[in-house]
Amino acid sequence: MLKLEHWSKAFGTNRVLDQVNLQVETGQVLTLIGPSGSGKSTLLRTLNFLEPADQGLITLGDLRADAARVSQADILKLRRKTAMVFQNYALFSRKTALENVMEHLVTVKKLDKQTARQMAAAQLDRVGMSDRLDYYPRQLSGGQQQRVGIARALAVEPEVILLDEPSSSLDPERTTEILDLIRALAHDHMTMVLVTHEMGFAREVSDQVIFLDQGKILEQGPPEAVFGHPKTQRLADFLAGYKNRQL
Amino acid sequence: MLTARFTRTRQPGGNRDFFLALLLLSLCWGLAGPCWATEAANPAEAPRQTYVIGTSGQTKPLDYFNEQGELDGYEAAVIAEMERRAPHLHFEYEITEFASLFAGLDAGKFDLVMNNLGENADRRSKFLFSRYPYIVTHNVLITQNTQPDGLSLANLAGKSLGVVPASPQSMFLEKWNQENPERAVKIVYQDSDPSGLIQDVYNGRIDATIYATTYLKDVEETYGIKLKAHPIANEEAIRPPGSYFIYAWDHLDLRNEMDALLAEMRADGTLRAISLKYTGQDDSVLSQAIIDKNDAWEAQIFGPGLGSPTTEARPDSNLRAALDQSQGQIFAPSLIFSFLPRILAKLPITLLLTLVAALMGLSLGLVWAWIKLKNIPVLKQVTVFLVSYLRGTPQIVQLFLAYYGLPIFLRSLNASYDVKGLPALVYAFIALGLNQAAFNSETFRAAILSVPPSETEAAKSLGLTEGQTLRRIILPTALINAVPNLGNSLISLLKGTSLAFTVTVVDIMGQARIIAGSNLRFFEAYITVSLIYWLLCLGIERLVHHLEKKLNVDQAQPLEAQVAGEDHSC
Repeated sequence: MLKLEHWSKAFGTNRVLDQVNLQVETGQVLTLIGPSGSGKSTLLRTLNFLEPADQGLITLGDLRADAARVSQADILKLRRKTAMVFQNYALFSRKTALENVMEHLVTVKKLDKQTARQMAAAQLDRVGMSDRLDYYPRQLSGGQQQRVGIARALAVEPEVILLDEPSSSLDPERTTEILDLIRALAHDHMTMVLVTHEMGFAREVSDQVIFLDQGKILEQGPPEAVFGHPKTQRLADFLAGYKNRQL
Repeated sequence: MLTARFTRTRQPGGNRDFFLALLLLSLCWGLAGPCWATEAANPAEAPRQTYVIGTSGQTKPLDYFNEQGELDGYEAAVIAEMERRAPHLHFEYEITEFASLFAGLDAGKFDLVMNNLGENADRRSKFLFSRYPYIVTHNVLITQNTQPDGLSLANLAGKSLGVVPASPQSMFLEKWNQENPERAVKIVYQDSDPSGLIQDVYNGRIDATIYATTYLKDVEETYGIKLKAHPIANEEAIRPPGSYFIYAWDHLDLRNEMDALLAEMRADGTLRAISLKYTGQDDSVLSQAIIDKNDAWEAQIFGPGLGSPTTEARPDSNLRAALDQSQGQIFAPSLIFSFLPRILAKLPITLLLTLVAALMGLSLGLVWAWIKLKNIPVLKQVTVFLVSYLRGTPQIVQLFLAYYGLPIFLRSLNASYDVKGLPALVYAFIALGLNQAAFNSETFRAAILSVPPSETEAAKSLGLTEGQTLRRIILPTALINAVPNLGNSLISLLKGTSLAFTVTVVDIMGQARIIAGSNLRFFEAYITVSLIYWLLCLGIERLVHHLEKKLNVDQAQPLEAQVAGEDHSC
């Protein structure tokens, strides 16, 4: 279970995140939507302290931390219970697909190479990359790289997976593949926090949707409520922009 | 006030066009020689002639730069006086290091050389000397004042004596060691001016040296120190007392004219006055022995009818050929191979210098780069200052500061510090290593910054610590990116080690200079050593190229997936 209380971050007077409160139950999918600059990605990145929050409490399973006083040890613990999938894949360019997925197992979980290799191969098989184990990122297409990225996150066996616009860099065909993969993970009851612009997908796969605007949660609730019956004009306008194209 | 101008220091391999022009000019003068013979007979009507004098300008009190930055000294004063008496004569100075004087004369860069140069059989046969010496000084053995009186070389077996390579003193000591192996002295070659060597005796770096009394007096006065001088019984063997202007053979007329002027100056007391001014005593007096000896040389070379301004200009060309023959050719390429073994004997030193300095440079450079990147307070400011200084000053200056400055600094911390304790090699390691570290730190900094930040973020999000991220993700990529630049650095370092001889470390370059000094075969020796450097650098280039190829594994192939045209994903 992931919980944020009074979660805030500011750059000078610019309040990037303003008293965010949210909770994700185990096995659930939370999707963050909102206009550019609303703070969605920032919020995601503060969850594993890639960017520090200024104040607030975070709870993940049995780990609690205060953003203002969090220790380096706690940050490490937090990162080892979460995993992130990046918009630009962020694979290690000098390592093969297999080595990318093995990295956490070998370095953090301190498993021996043999075991790590087996586990990594299993994760890559799960995302359909068994025949590309020894390929380097430069030898893979965007969609393939993202699948490796997802496998790498899965290998952590995290309590929650954080996905930062995972399909935004992909063409429509590859996008479908990745979304299919994420849907499969959701069906396997993987806890996920997802930031995406794919409204249709968000509506379909989420258990909870949060609409952020200027660092504040404007609306929050199950997808039918948020997408079907927006309560604020802001959300309505935002969704209207999508409706004009497709939903 | 001296009227002779001087030109800036030429480095070996310096301004090529100027060198060629000067060479061409000298050849023209040489070919046009006979014309000057008749014209010199009427100096007042002769057109103005400019001659180039090679000197080191580092031989106080004979030639040195005074406070106004002009060339001054006994010799400079004599030349200036000659110009005054013969207005059509004009001299320009070319300042170069001692070891290059004869090479320059050979090559025609200089018309004559002056540097308190004495005679030996080699030089007498290869070059033309002025008729009589312009100064007569005596070499003495110099030790610390605490030593007993009347010492000689025999008393100094096993002790260290400092000399400049290619000098008569160095040849004298080499000969002593050859003939008295059981009483050999330890010869320390140093690329110093006389005052440097004398000072080193004073502070105990070397046990003794041999130099002329004029230098000794000058050093003692300048620094307010006292040393002990021991007369040398067979000083003739070192270098017969008497310094001469030395000319190339085709400058007989210039030499005769200068001889005549010198004779005038001697007769009317001007030379004596110059001597008193610069050495504090009359060193211009010619003993009968010296006069007889030089007359004999003159007769031997020119036959009866001694060279004078009105005589036929050339020495017997057959004789000249014979002289050359006895010395081999002017340029003997076969010597390049003969020198190879002796120079290669010092290759381990060059390689050791390069290796140690490279390792220091890599490790320290990485540390400094990390400090700068991480913005560690205090340490960062110190590092920035150090790197800026080490990159902004020449290696040779850093070598000198390490070799001469560090002991002083260390002694100020601990008065009983033994100056002789650390071998010169260690100072060279320090200077070259620090220099390398400074350049490498910037290479590493750039390389680390070139690692995509997304990879660092991914590593952090996987829970890797700072150290793990650095070791497993950042450094592997950064170091690979740094390889080309590091290769450059290494080549630079290898060539930088050639300066080690300036702080007494005999590497291949030092050995080449020593060899050249003992037999005047400068070109051959330098060509040999340059070939060695070139081969080593080629080796480094190949190694780096091979390394680059091996490490760029993930960038070797194009996108195979696209090329294959299929994708079996779900």
